[in-house]
Amino acid sequence: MRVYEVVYMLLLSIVTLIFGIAETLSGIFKININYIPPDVFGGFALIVISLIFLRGCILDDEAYLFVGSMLLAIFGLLYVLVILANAMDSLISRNGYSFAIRPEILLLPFSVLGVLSIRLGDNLKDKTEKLWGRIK
Amino acid sequence: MDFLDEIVGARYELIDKIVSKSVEKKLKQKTVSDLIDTVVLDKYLGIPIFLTLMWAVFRFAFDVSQCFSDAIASLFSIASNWAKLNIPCKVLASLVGDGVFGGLGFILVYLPPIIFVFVALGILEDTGYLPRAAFVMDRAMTKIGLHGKSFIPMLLGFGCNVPAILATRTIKGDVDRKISIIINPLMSCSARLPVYVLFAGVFFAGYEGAVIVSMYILGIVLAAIMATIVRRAFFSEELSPFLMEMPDFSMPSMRSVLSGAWLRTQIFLKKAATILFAGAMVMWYLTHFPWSATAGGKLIGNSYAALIGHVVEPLIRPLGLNWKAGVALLSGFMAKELVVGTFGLLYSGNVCAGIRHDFNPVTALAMMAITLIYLPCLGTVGVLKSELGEWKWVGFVVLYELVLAYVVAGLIVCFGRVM
Repeated sequence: MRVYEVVYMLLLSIVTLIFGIAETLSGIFKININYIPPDVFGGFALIVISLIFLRGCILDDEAYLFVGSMLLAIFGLLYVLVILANAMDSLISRNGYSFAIRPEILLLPFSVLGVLSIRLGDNLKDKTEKLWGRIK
Repeated sequence: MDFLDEIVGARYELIDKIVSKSVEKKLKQKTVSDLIDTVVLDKYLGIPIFLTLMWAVFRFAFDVSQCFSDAIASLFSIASNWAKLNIPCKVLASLVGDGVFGGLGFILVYLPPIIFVFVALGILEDTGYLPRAAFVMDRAMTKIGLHGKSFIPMLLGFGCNVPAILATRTIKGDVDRKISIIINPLMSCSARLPVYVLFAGVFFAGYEGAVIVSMYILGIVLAAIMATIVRRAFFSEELSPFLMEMPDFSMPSMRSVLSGAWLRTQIFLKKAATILFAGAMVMWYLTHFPWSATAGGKLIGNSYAALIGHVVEPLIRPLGLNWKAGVALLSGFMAKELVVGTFGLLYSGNVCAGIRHDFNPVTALAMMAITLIYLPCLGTVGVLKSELGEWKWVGFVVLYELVLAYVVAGLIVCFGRVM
């Protein structure tokens, strides 16, 4: 695995772990933390994703970056869908609309980058090698 | 390491030896399917990943479908009011307004989450994840007296218990299959979902998802306990070996997922047009007659339903439930969806307020647990008979479910009172 992939995975692991613990604790103890929804199971999901990234760092396996990022992207997209559904609901019921951006949505671009990194990384590597070959 | 692990390890060692001597491998790049397999079949992360995916499935089913449910509820409410105002004959107006739009309509409000569950399970089926889930769960399942293959029918039971029980035909060992069938009604089918959504929405606002998922987990835990008890009590045969072919992961095709979900929805709609419609009519009659004594359904305490409910009430009173819950649970024997339909009729249009008055968070949880566990519906009883072959086994399933429902609900109430 390339070094930047390991660093990226470690960063994602730390960020998801922090958000995961915050969501879980806020769900269990009903603590009000800004931008963190009180969601025990949602927090558990983020902790699992964090452990996937961590195991990937330990085993030095790109598969963990790919699957961890994919799971994170699934949750990001899911919560975007929930926001859209809530908007539609408020249109139907003519109630005021309020929505909360979840950490999973903020992490969505980074997870997409993680999913694409494997193929992008390979392409980049091929191109650099070709370029290096020409320079030589 | 136990004896079984040693046998499995020795087998794989032998396989590796034979393969290394007979197969020449060419190094090739890992496919996407290989990458995903490495992680989802991970020894330590496999089960947590499965639980995480199930959570995603339920969030998708409940949260995204909410707007559609609200739209259907508004439509039926308008239709019900229109019928009551514009049909001159009062009995007919009540039949259409309360019975059809109030009773059956209240069930159809929960159609969107059911469809969304079908879509989500279809996506998992289509990607090829279900065999992986079975493989990951094999170790845990072996400990409770089942093997991994039993897990697929259990998962399918989240859609409907009837096809799930039929899916146990893929299990080779007769005893393994029988146990898988016996515990399958404990899997929370989509028909129970409306009851969870209703009660969780009223008593656990903001935590609905967690409460509903807990019910699904409770079903799996109880199934595990029952499988252990049944194997130890009735069968002495050893577990048959677990062999399963893993298809490659593939992108789910939208067409096949949607057509699968539509097929299952059609079955639900047929059920709604026949059994649920008939059930709603029967419940309307029982809650609105004698017409003069109930003042056209306004004094439900004088209805035939109340009469039946009061007979059952002494049994469920210790659980903190009243006669209305008793009537709803009795109607659920025909089809579990009728439980909410009956509440719709009993609280005539003001279900949430009525439920808030008659239940509290603890009794609501007990009611949800009873709905999960007690009595399989008529359709499931039919398929249990055809697959188990003998009435004594069907009787056993019905009996253990009734006892288990009572015990679990009792524990919830006791625990709730202590807390």
